[in-house]
Amino acid sequence: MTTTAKALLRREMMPHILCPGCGHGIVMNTMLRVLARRYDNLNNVALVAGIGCSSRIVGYIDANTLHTTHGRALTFASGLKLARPELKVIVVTGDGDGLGIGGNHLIHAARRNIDLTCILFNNETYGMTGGQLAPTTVREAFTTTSPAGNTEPHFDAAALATAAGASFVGRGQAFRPDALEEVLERALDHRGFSFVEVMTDCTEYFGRKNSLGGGSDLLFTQSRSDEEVSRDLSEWPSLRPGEGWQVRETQPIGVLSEDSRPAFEESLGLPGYKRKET
Amino acid sequence: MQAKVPQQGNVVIAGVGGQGVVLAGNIIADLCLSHGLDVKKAEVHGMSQRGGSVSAQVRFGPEVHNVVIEQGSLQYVLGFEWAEALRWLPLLAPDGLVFASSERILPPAAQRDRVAGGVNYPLAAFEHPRVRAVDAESLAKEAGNVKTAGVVLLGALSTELGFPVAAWRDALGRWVPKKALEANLRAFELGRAWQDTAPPKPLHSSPTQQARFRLQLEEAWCKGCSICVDVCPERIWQLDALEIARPTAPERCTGCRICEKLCPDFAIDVVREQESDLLHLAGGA
Ligand code: SF4
Ligand code: SF4
Ligand code: SF4
Repeated sequence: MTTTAKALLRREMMPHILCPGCGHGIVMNTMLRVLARRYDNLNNVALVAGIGCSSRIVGYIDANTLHTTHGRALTFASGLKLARPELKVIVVTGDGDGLGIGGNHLIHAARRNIDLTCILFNNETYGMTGGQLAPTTVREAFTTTSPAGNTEPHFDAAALATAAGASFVGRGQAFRPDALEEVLERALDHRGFSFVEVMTDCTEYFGRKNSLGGGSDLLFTQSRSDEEVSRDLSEWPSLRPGEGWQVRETQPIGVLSEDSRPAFEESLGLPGYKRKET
Repeated sequence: MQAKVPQQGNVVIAGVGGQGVVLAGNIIADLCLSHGLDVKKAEVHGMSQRGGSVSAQVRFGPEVHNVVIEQGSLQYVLGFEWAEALRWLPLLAPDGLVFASSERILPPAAQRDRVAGGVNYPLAAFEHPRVRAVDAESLAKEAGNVKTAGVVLLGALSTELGFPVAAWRDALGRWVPKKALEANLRAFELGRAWQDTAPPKPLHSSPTQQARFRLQLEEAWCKGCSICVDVCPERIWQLDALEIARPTAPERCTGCRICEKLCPDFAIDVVREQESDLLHLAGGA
């Protein structure tokens, strides 16, 4: 990690608690690079997180950080943003936190188009609490609470945010940090609710339970094409990764949608925001 | 002492694109024809744009049916480039001779480790009883035109391949451009007076190999996930017995930063060396 990015860490907290090879670390690494490029220090940046492995990362970043209750990162962040509109507010949440426990808050933050950035780490499971089934777990995938394979369809987080009215929606992957960097830059530039879904990996639970390997093996599954998946499956019939691999590759990445309708702060005419009618 | 005019034989001219390999083959073929010999000639070229091999093969005799030079029967190799010349050793007859320019031109494919200036040139210190290293480049400069290096080698060959000197000079006159003829004739003479100038020169036109990136590891942060080990295109990282990542050949690092960006624990720092550090490494001021 570059010196400027490293300077944004709370060094005394390192090393972080994430498991070896956890994709969240890569996403955090990318976030820090983007932040270091934009800011000399993070005194005017607030990082708000809920509960979970991904939410845990804000504790390692030397910004104004708020570790809140499960699923409620966006509600705390909305309050903070309205009280202190001059702050750059970034919400860090996971799929369990942001879509399961706090799915309701996500759709309403998107509907209001409040000017903050929400980065949702999607590792298709609840990591910190023991690898349970999440609303993002793909069909047939094994989790602690789906020992015979998941039978439910999964949420497409980016499509959900778009439908709920987020004015910026993007998606990235831990495996492609440069592309993710670009999406994050654009999201932070955007005025209004910007939502970025990042595909990452839980080596400890999702990777292990679905025989996807750890570290780089799991990371590389993010680049698998359908052909490669079917070839692997025919060569290793004992593997049962369900639709997981296909979903990873066929999901588009990059900026998926963007529009310039007025942000919530603008319709309220908050300090620093020119009043605009919705 | 002038050697006997040969009645049959073969010569291979080997080099890379742009060195005049094909022209040298034409001169030898012409020389043989002018002595009433039958000649077959083959060329391999077309890769010259990419720094690839170019070669010309000439067989001559009272009657030649086939251009192929069999293994163990190759009489003379004129190597315009050191490694290209040595490629032909497997075909060489026991009493065959290789006149190889000590000039070394690095083909792109030899840049195996992809660090600018980092090279992997084969056979740098090679000795062989039938190989004569000729400093053709310096002799050509002495003749007044660096492009005459090939003719220096023809001069060297003329001491063994005993066609009359006048015939060689005539053949040269028919093939080289008029305004360069004088320099070429001088080069031919210098080649004839050639002395074995081994050992080969240091690498031609390649900067010295230097690590331009320093790899720093925050040891206490590394969790041994082996992502860096698997993603580095140069295969530089390895886990040690304690499962801590270690750079094995840091000088091969190209600075792509893939390891740095994909390390989930921010343990890797790829530092570009400052100019001043490089000077320091080179022992300069
Ligand atoms: S439990 Fe899963 S998501 Fe959580 S740190 Fe470990 S690997 Fe990462
Ligand atoms: S990627 Fe980072 S944590 Fe993993 S082995 Fe390499 S240096 Fe260690
Ligand atoms: S920057 Fe890292 S991945 Fe790239 S060549 Fe150097 S050690 Fe390997």
